Amino acid sequence: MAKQQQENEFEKWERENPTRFEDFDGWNPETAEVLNDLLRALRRKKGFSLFFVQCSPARGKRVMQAIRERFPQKRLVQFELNRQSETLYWDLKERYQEEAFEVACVTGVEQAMYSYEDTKRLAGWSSKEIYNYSWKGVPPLLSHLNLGREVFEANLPIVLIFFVPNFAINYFVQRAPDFFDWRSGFFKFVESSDLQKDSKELVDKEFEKYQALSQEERMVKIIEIREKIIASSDKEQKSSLLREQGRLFASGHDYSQALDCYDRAIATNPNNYKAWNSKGDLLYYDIKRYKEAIAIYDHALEINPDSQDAWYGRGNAIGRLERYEEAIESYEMALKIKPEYYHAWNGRAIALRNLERYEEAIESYDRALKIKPDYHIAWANKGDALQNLERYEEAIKSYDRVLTIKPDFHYVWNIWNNRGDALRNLERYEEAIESYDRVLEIQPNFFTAWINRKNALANLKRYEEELKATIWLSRFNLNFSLLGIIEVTLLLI
Amino acid sequence: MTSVQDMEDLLDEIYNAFTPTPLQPGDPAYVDCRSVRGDEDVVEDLGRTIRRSRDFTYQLYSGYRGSGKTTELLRLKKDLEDRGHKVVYFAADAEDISVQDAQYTDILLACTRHLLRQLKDANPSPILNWLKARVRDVKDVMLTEINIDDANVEVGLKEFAKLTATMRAQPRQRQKIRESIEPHTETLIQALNAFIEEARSHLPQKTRLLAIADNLDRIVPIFRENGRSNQEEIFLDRHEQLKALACHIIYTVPISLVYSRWATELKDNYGLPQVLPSIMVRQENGDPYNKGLNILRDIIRRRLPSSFSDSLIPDVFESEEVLQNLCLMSGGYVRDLVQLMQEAITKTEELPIRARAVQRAVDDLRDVYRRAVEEYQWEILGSVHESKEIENDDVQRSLLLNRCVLEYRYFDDKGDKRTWYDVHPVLWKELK
Repeated sequence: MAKQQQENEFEKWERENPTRFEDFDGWNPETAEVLNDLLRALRRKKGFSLFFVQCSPARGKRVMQAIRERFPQKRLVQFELNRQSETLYWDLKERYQEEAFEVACVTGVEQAMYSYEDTKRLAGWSSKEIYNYSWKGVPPLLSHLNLGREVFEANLPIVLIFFVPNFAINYFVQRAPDFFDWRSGFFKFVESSDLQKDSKELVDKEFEKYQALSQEERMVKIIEIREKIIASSDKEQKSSLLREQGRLFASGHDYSQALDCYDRAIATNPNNYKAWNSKGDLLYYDIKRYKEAIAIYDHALEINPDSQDAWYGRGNAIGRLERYEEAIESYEMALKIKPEYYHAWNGRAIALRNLERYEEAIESYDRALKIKPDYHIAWANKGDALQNLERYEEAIKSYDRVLTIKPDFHYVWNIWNNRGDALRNLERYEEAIESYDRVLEIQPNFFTAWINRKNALANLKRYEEELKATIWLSRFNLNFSLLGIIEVTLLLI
Repeated sequence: MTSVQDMEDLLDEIYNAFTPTPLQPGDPAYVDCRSVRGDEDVVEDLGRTIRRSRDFTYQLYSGYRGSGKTTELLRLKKDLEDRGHKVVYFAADAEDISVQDAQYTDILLACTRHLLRQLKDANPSPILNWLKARVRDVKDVMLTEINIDDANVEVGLKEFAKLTATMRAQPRQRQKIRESIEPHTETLIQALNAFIEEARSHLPQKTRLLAIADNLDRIVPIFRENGRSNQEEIFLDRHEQLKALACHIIYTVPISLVYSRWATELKDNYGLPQVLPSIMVRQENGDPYNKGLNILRDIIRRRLPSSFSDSLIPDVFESEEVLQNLCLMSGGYVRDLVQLMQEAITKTEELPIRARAVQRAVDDLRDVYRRAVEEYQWEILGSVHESKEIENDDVQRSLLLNRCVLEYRYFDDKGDKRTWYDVHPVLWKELK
C-alpha cells in the first residue's frame, strides 16, 4: 500500500517536472548533471539566495530557458549590466518594487570590468600581491557588491543568479570575496566545444588590426583567449594562444604583460618559433634592445630556418646596429622564402640607402610598391632616396602619393617638410613655403621646418618676414638671437 | 518509510539550514568553539573590558572572512543587553562606505547616522544644529536641498541621509562635501558627544553605552602617493578622533591591518586586537583531532532537524568516513563547512548524502580556492604545509587573508598558547 502511494507521488512529481534534460540536445551527461543540481537548488532554496553560474552566453540562455520551463509559476527577469554599470542594488530594488519578481538573472557583469586596470592585471599572468595591490583600478561594481551583501539580503527576498564567464568568477573570488562567500551555490558549465577549431580561429591575427582596437575591445579578446588557455590541455595549442595573448597586450603597449605571455608560450612549447619571433619583435620595436632581439630571432631560426618573419625581424635589428650588409642578407633570406614580403623589400631598401646605394634602394622600394601600391611608408622612403639622387621632381611625386594614400599618417609633417626641401632645391620657393607652413600647422615646434622656411623666405628676398621668423627662432636657439636679427635687419635696410 | 514528498521537504529544510549568513544570538545552531580555538571568546574578553572599565574603551576586533565575527558581535550585544546595558550595533552598509576611497569622515558620519537612528529617546538638537550650520557650506554641492527647520529626529535623519546619499552617488560632490565638513569634525564630535551624553542621562547610572561598528573591515585599501593607505589613515592617524566619542566603541578592522607592520602601533592605541582563528580539525602532526571534529559534527547536527540528532549515520551521511571527510576538508573553517554541506545537499537527490556528493562539493570548493592562488604562490604553500609556520611577509599574509592558509591555536601541555598554520585542506591535492 505504502509502496503504491510512493510510486504515485513520484509519477506525479515526474509529470509536473517533465524537463530533466538528460536527453535534450546540447546537454551532455556532465552539463545535464550540473543543470539538475542547479534546478534542484532553486527548487529547495527559500528566501534571499545568491547563485553563480559559470557559462558561455549561449549556455546561459539555455539555462535561463530551462529555469523558466521548470518553474513556470515563478516570475523571472533578466537583468543586463553594461560597461557603465557601477551599482546593481538600487536598480534591482526599483525593478523589484515595480514587478515583484522571484528570480533575477544577472548577465553582463564582465562588461563592467573590461575598462579597468585591475582587469588587465587579472587577465595577465605575472601579477603579484593581489591583496596588497591598490584597489584604485578595481571596477566600482565589485566593491559595491562586496560591501552591499547585507543590503541585498535584507531587502530583496529573491533568487539572484549571476551568469558569468570564468574570469569573472576569479574576479569575484579575489575582489568581492565577502559577496561570493554568501553564495548558495556555484555551478560550472564547461563547454567541451571544439577547442581546437576555436583556438585556430583566434590566433595569428594581423597585428595592425590589434593596434586598431580600443582598450576595451582588446580586453574582451584577451579574456576570451585566456579562457581558452585555461581550458586547453594541448601544449602546442596553449603555447600559440599564450603568444596571441601576448600580441594583444603588446598592441596595447602593455609590454611587461606581453613579455610574460611570450615567455610562458616559450616555456610551454619551446619549439613555438612564432613565440620566439614575437618576443624578438617586442625587444626590437618596443623595448629597443637590439642585440637581445637578434639572439632571439636566431633562436627562432634554429627551430625554423624558413621563418620569413624571423629573418625580417633580424634584418631590422641588425640594421639598427648599423650592420647594413648583414641586414641586407637577412632581408634577402626572408625574400627567398616569401618574394612578395613587401616589408622586407622596404627594409632592404632602407639598408641600401644607408649604404648610399641609392639606385638599388629605389629598385627595392619599387619591388615593394609593385606588390603593395598603397604602401605609404615605402613611398615616403623612396622620395628620400630620390632626393639623394637629386631627382626632386620624382621625389615630390613620391611624397604626394603618401599624402593621398594616408593624409593622417602620424609622420605626415615630416613628409611635408621633405617635400618642401625638394621644392626648394627646384627653386620653387613659394610652394616650398606652403609646404613648410603645413608642417608647422601640425608640429609648431619643429625647429628644422622654421629654419627651412626662413631660408626659403631669404631666397625670395622677403626680408621682413624673414626677420620675424628669425626673431621667432631666437626663442629656440641662441645662434638665431641677436646676431641673426642684426644680420637680417641689415639686409632690410 | 518516507514518501518522496517528505524526503523533498526534509532536504529543503536541511538545505536552507545551511546558509552562510551570520547566526542571530540565541540561535540553537550556535556552537561554542572556544576550546578548539585557543579559548578566544569575544563575549568574555571584549565584554569584560567594557563592563569593568571606568573610562570609555575603544577596542578593535578582527577576523578572517567568515570566521564568525558578526555572529560573535551579535552575541556580545545580546549578552550586554541581558545585563542591562545599552548597545547600538550597526553594520556600516553601502550608504556609509560604499565609496572606493572611504575616509575618516565617512566613518564619523556613519557613526552619527546610526547613533541618531538608534538612540531615539535622546534629544537630537545638538547634531541637528551642527547639521544646520553645515547646510550653508554644502548647499551648492547638494543635489537636493537640505531642510531642517524642525528639530525632529526623523527629519534630521532624512536630511542626514541626503548628505550621505549625495556623497555616495557623486564622486566629485563627495570630495567637496568632505572638504567642507573636514574642518568641522571636531565640532561634530562635540555635538555627537552632547547627544550621547543626553542619551546616557536617560539610562540608569551603571548602564554602559556601547556602539559596535561592524563591517569596517571591508573598507578597501587605497594607497596614497606616499605609500600610506586609507586604512592606516583612518585607524592610525585618526585614532584620537576615533577614541573621542563619549561611549564605549568596538570597531571592526581589516585583518590585513592587524597583521601589517602597524600591528604594534595598533596595539599601543587600542590594546590587543581580537582575532578569531579556525577550529583545529587536525593536530600539528596531521592526525585528526577528535575534539575539533566533534565540534564540527555538533555544528552540523544542530542545523539538522531534531529527528536526525541521533542518526547522523546512516540517515544523513551514508558512512562515518563521508562525514569525517567533509569535516576535515573544511579545515575547521565554519563558513566552508556550511558551504560544503550546502553543496553536498545540492548534489543529493535523496538522503543519505553519499561519498560522491561530498567529493563533488569538495572539488567545487577546491576550484574556488585555486582561483585565489597565484602561480608563484604554490611553492610557498608547499613550504607552509611542510613547516606549519608562516613568514610574516606580504605574500604569506595575503595567503592568510584569502584563507588559503588557515591559522590554528591551542594550549600545549605546559599551558602555553601555541599558534600554527596550515594550507587549506582542499588545496593539499594541488601541492607538489
